[in-house]
Amino acid sequence: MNNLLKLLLIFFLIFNFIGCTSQNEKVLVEGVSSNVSSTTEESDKDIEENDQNISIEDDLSETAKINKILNEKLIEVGDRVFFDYDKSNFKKEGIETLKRQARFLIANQNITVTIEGHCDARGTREYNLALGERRAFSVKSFLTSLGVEDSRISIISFGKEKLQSLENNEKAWAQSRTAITTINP
Amino acid sequence: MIKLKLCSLLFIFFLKNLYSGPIEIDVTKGTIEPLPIAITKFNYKSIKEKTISNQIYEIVSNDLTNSGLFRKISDNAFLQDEEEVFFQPSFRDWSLIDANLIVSGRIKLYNDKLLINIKLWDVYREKLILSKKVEVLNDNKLRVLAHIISNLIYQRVTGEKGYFDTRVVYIAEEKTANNISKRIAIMDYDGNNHEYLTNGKNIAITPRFSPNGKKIAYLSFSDKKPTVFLFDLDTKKEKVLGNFSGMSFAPRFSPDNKRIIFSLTKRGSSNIFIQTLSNNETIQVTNNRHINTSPSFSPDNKWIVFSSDRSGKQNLYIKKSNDGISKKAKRITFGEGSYATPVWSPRGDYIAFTKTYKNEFFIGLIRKDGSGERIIATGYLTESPSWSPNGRTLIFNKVNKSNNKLVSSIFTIDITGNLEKKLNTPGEASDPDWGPSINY
Repeated sequence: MNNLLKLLLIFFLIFNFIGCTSQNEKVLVEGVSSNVSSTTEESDKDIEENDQNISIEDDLSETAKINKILNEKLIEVGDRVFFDYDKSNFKKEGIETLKRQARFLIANQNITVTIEGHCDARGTREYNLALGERRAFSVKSFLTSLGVEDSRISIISFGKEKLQSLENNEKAWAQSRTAITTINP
Repeated sequence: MIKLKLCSLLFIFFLKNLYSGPIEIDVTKGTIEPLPIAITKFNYKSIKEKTISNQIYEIVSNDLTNSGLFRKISDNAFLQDEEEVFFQPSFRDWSLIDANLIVSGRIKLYNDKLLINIKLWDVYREKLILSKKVEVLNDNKLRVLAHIISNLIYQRVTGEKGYFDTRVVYIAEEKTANNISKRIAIMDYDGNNHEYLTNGKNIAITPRFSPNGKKIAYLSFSDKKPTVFLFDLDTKKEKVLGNFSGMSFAPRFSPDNKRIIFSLTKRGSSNIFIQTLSNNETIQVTNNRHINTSPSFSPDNKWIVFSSDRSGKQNLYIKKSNDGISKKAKRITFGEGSYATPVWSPRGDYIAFTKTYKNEFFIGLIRKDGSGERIIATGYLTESPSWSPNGRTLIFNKVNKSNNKLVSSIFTIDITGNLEKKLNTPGEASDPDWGPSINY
């Protein structure tokens, strides 16, 4: 039984590794990231460490570990897109981020995600809750249009309750007008 | 002039004209002078009565000055003592120190009961204009009793019901480096009897009293998604409003306490629903792909007002509460900027709202038919107005900016926009909602 689990985990990690590598290749083709080689090295190391740990740790913490790696991957891919004031269609540069997100999600079929919609502090509370929901939904719609299954994506709005920056200027507000994709634990 | 007619300021206007010759009152410039009032100590015999007398004096003085309508004259200036004035003021002495009104009273403890006689004198007309007896069981209701006395004075002078015995719920905010904790707090309108209702583990926002003061509807992030909860103030227990597939938010009770109106999200849109609390039956009121939120009932339960961005930006709309989705709502705002958070006055005459225009925030009033729009307050950020039970004062959230730091507080303002007052809270505060009178 234990052996079977181990096998499955190793299989999963290899799958994940392949997924990530091909992901990085695509990033390179699109010319977005200049430190691709170093990140690949880092992920190699991560996985080596993981391999050593598999035999001594239980299934649950392994899952957590895998999730940690996947979360790091997601951040590398780009976990968030941004919006203009009072708008729910994400900014143009978000399109490429979401394309990478979609490839990542298709490559890692066993994860589900929640998209958090956020707003800046310069709107009323209840409207911002609705606007955050709409932002999260617009990201979800785009991801599903790229082939990610609808059932794998939940959405939640935080309105202006979890500002990404508590500072008080246009730059901070722009940071807070975002939709963030997070991997469900 | 129409504006003046609407409120107690007419009385001031009237008094000023009558007593000190004609004066100009420009309500748009905030030059209203509060009425000078002499509050004499309430007469007593025993030491126990003395303590009560002092407490009541403090509370009444605080209430009347807080209303912004009165200016308390210093005791040092008084030429007549409280015993004499209770029987007959020497009006000449009081007019010398410029008092327009005199409050006097007497306290008696007997058979475990507390009896208070309260008198209000009009100095210029040299007349007793209020004389009442208030009796209570002498338990811990002293504060309420004092507030009732303030109510009587306020009502005699303004013609409006007093609000000094009401409570307020709001969100107590605590900021750390990169996190804000938000929990529901309840207190008397003057900041006393402050109590936290939620523990702050989860974000809680937009608490709203049921009009009978028994429950609070609010939004909590305690579930996986933001959900409307109902908090019972007697049992201190809470429960979810319902299990909906989307996010439920923006709750408000109907004036008859029987229903909750709120928004529900689906596929990125927010629409308005009404749930009957007795049988959990839910009807849909709006049905479109836009944001429809912040609904509020009219005092007769027949109409609702809400904000919607169906025109491309947020505006206010009204429709009949029992029309369901069959009829279109009528737009009532057409000015520049966005209109949000409408809330119907308990008197039915006005709808208060938040307006944002060119990155500025305003609190305003408008009539149901879209006429009479005017702004009564502004600030770096102002929002979530809520009416006093008498429909003559609003409580709202105001964020002030000082040294590039933002400080969130709650303020009250009368409907002319002249008498703005900050409420004392232990920490930062937002989302105030004004409740009914305390049950006694």
